[in-house]
Amino acid sequence: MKKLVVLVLVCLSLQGNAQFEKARVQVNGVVCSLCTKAVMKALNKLNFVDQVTVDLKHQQYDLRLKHGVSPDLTDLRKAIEDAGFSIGQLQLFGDFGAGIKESDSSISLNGQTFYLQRSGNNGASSKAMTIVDKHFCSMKTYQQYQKWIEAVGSCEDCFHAII
Amino acid sequence: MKSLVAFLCCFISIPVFAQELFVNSENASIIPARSLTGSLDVHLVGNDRLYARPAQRYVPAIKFGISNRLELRIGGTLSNMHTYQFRGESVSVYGKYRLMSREELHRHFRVAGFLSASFTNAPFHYDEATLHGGKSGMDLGIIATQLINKLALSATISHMQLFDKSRFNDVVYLPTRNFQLINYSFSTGYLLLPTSYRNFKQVNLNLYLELLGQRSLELRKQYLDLAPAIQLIFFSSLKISGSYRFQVEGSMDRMTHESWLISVEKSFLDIWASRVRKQKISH
Repeated sequence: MKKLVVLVLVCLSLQGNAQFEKARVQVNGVVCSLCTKAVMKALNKLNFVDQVTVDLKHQQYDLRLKHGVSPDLTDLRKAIEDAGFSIGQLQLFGDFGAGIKESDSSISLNGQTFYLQRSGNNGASSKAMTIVDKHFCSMKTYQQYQKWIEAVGSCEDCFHAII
Repeated sequence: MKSLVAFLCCFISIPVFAQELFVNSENASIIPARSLTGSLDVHLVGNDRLYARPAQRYVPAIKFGISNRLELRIGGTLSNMHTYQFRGESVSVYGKYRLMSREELHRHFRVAGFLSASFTNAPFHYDEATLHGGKSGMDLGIIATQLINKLALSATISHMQLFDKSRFNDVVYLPTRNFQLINYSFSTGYLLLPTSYRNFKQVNLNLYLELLGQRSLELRKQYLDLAPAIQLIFFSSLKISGSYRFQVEGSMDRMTHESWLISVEKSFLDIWASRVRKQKISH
């Protein structure tokens, strides 16, 4: 009995502390170092970002997120668009997998709701999700999931993701 | 002496730099929001026809990124091209608005509209019209730019109206003057160095070749120029460019058929704070 209580408490605490640890953004339209510098500066200014590292060749920006600060994906998108570019792909990483059951169609994390669709891979990681909302991915990717997004519906602070 | 002076040329154009590069024309990109770019262009002419001596024009300008769709530039010119003495010549404003952008990894296609207005105190000389020092007026146009990895292609077309008092003089009619023109350009640029990006300290070397033309809508006169250019970018924020422009063919009366441009531009990012939504704390 004691072991069962401990297990339940551990599971609850895991869900309570589940949050994003890292974000990976691929930015479209960038071909010069001045442009990359503008994007990096914009991302560094976000108050939920602790550190930004960039793969210049592939235009991938790895953002280490601050503990205890909810990442505002809308501000992330605005920062990149203000620099003059757009998001090609946005992935969020974190230890939130324990809170997701097979039957879950959505989860709430850091005050935001994520509607989920499984990618269908047997070895799909429950530690990474790819956002497929308009302006958070390429147009081609959005069109691939557009019907599902419209069927599920949208709201402020709601996002649609593939895990 | 003339051969030495030949190194000094004046370039009559609108050299403005956006984040993409072109030396003698604009592209369809907008500088980052809340950023500021300061530039100084020096136009040199080996032989100003009117005064039979070299001439020069200095064009200081500041560009503001108002939003991710709109940029504004204000500038002026100081010159001895149309006057015997070197003096303050004109003031101008330029606005560019991004109409459309399609982006993929390492490439994009953009379209922007622009409006330029200028006032000059230079006398009305020559058929050729430029709004930065030469003539007073307005220019309305559209730019389309395609970027594919290291290659940039851009085309511009615009309609220019000149506002000189001789145009509205009901008593004296000057049939040799034109006040309505079409401008067009086709530009190509290539990022030669670095061959692959590793960090922001690498020096960028860009090469350009631009075709620039103007046609009068009232007189049967036009010109077509070719302008090769080279550009270096240091620390991802300081640009230094040099260009030589010469007439390929034309019938317009112009100050010169060849000119030189040297330009320096420095960018400053995030000059003022943006409005962001209030951050939610998770616990």
